[in-house]
Amino acid sequence: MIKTIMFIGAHSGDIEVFAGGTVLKYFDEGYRIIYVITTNNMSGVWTRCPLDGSIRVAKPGSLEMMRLRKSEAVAAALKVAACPVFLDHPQRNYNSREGELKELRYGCGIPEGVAENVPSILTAHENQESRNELKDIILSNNPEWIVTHGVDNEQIEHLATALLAAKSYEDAVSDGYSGGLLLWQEGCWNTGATNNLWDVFVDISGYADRKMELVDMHVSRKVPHYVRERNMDWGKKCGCGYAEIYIIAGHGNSQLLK
Amino acid sequence: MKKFIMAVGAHADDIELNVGGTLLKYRDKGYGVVYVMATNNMSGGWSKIQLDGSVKVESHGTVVMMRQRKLEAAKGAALLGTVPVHLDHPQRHYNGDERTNNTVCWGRDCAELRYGSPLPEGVSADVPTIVTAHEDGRACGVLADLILKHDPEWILTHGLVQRDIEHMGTALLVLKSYRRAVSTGYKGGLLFWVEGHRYLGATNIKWDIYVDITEYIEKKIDLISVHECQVPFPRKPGFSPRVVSEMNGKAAGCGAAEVYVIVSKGKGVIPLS
Repeated sequence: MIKTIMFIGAHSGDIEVFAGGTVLKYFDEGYRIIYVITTNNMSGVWTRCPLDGSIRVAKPGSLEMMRLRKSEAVAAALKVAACPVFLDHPQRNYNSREGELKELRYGCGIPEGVAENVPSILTAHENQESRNELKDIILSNNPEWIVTHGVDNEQIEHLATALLAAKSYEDAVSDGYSGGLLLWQEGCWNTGATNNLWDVFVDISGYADRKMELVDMHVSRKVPHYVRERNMDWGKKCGCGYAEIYIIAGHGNSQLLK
Repeated sequence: MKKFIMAVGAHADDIELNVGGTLLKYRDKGYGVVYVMATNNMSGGWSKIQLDGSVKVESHGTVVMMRQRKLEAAKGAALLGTVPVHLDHPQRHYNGDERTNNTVCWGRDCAELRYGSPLPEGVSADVPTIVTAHEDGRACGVLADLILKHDPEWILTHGLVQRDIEHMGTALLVLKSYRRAVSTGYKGGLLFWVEGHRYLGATNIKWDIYVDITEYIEKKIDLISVHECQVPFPRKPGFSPRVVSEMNGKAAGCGAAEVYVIVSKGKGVIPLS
């Protein structure tokens, strides 16, 4: 039976940035990779780096951003023979066609490409239909591990995705699922040292370059310069070259990743 | 010069439930308490004790809920020798009416913050909700100004290990406002209180320091009991805030404790104990 690992990220690119080395390592070990992206990716800016070395930032509307970011997610997932599952919960803001930043507030309009009455990513974890949808994906794929955002960060959609994943995981466990749940650490030191502890690490020393290639496939997103340095820093602390680090939220019956 | 301690909670009762003992203890030490509510408290049920001893949870509109919960917050703050400051960021849902597409939240019909949601009664369109307030420069500025005005030795607020997105939103609002205050000279420290949600892993509920509230546990329960619409039976055996305080006390080697993660020690401030 083929073993499976499921990765759940808020946005296109998150899985690659925070757990890309783990994805590649376990793909090479023969695991089937499941990619789940919780938001509709309608937000953000499109960063382009022309040959002259400058950085240009465009602000496409919600439909254009969704198309662009989802196509990048598909291309990156294909590298590990996966096809992303998009849960399509609207993000908390977006750029209008005129380039104006619009925020989710009471009394606001509906963005282009968003259906009426869909829970946003901020409240999806309290919506039983949304939780059931993710629970069914968990149960139908029966992954050894589910890997998602932790709560050491300042990005509210990452935090909300952690809530959605953890609550759907709880629902799946109560229906007999026996895999584990890992929360990746994002290295946001501003939340205090104790919020940056970890339980397990995955040695990605042989995968640092390939991880960055995977990350770089998200060409619309300016890659944070610290991704490689952070993995190297964690590697140093873990006694290897490069590492990705995790908190164990649920052990299940699975063997620990390493 | 009078010393201050500031507590920032998402909802009326959060401060009392999580750090009521610490604030009572520091009030007795002569500290002034700055009591800040991040949301507008428009949501939630209203628990009423019936003649037969049972509890009926009523649903009321936004304006009624705000009035009641803010009244209770004012009573709690008064016992701490202060008055609440309300930042009034709208909550993510409220008890719906005929205009709203209701969904089920917390087992009740609720109207939820979604694209296309109508404006609830008593809410202005130009105010960011508590889930995005931390990204709003003006909202962070208001709280940073409050920090600078009172210059508290310590700011206490929700941690990020949560089940409640509004607690997370409040933690981020405080974190970013704190940073802004520090950039203009504020030297106090920031603590996240630990609420003990184990579902995100044992490592996520570790803490750095505790405040021994053994002598304040009964007073803490009295303080919580002013929030009648949310906490109808604070003296009931097994009441969770008492159990959690006692469990923390056991881990800390005292009778009852409130526990914290140090986000920032500040410069030259004396640790809480």
